[in-house]
Amino acid sequence: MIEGKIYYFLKHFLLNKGWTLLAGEPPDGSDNVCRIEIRNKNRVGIGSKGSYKIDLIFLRKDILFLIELKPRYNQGDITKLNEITSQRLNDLYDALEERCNLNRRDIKQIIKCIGVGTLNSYALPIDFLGFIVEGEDDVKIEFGEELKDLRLFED
Amino acid sequence: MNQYKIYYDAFQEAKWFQSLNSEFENAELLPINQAQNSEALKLLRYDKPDIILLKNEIAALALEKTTEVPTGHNVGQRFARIVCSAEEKVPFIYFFPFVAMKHGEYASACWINARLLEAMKKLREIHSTPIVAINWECDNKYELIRDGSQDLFLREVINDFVKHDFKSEPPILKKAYEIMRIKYQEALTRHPQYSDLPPTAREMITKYYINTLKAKYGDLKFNGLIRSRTKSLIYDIGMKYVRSDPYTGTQLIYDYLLARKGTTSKERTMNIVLRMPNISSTLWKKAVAKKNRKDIKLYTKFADLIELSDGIIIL
Repeated sequence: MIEGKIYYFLKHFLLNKGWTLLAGEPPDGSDNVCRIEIRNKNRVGIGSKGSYKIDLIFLRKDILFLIELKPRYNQGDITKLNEITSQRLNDLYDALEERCNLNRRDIKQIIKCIGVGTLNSYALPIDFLGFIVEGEDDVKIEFGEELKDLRLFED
Repeated sequence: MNQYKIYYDAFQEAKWFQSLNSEFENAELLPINQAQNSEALKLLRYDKPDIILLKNEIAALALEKTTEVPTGHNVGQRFARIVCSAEEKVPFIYFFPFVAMKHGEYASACWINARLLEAMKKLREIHSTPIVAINWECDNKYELIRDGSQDLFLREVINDFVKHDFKSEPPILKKAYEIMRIKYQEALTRHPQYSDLPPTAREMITKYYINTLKAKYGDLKFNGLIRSRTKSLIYDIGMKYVRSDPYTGTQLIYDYLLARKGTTSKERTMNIVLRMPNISSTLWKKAVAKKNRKDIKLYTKFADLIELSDGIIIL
């Protein structure tokens, strides 16, 4: 499945589950959603070098989903989300405040997620959530070992 | 029952476009880069729009959607695909913000370059084809509206196209053209320099320009058409290697805005001269050797003469 379809199908899947879309970066073209750029505050000079954009950001109550999308499992996305939620966490909070009016105090938990067509036999990292997008309204959810007890999709 | 096909560059844009009118509910969605249909291919001669709509296998409409305000280097980025649509007599809708907040360290409201609106008007008049810019509206803080209401006027326009079978100018376009006119005037009030020549272009008397070239390169044979035009528009292109953006689009904007009087590139009041002082003949030949380059195709199709750092090309 192409990334553009994964983007569209997963976005609608989560909206239908009651999650609020905060920001997004479609793989091509534009969408009716704001883009946030996680800028590196330590960088001197102009341009967006060292900045990150996240494919989809959703919120429900005080839980934030950061989702990276690819047709297949991609280690680079895991590394990117690990970095954003550790060394670059303050940059993420600043970007959310600036573009989405969301204060860091309103976020109790950040969940790193990947949205893929296939995991391609890779094991999902224990602190990640995986959305396996196989078609419209056909999304399977895989929980990393550490997230197994979370109730994220119940009313 | 009418059969629609929507060729798309980005899937979410195809779904969005499909949702704009119930008539498209059962449209077939097809990736634009796999287009085989000649009606779609004819609109891909220069580059690709976001959406091509076929109605009963005939090209009915093309559309471009962007959240970027056409300003700075972006002004002409999408203009070649609009020209292609106009040449093929297929209506084109360009949906973008006329003003919006540019975010980042130096955040500020960013306004449209008025020349684009005027060039689109000229394009529409010259090719007698609906070419329309529709404003993606923003709120009072210049943030783009994204709650769906930004599409309302666009929906009305598309509905009118559907109602009139995409064959004639739907009446609602009068309103859209009037908005373009008002926004153009407002932009001129804000930046009066838009009514002057752009900073990268200048007019020269053709005879004098030819003499300068002859003094540099010896006896050159210019065709009658070049010599017959009293003036030439010199567009200075500062690129250091041969590339497309933003130059090919800007070249076409200048062509339509300042020189064009008919549907073919022969019908101009001024020659279009592309001056590329950082590109040598060797660099140019290297670029030309690569087949199907969009930039070479556009530079050579829409100019009369190209002046390189060490030679000239008469087209």
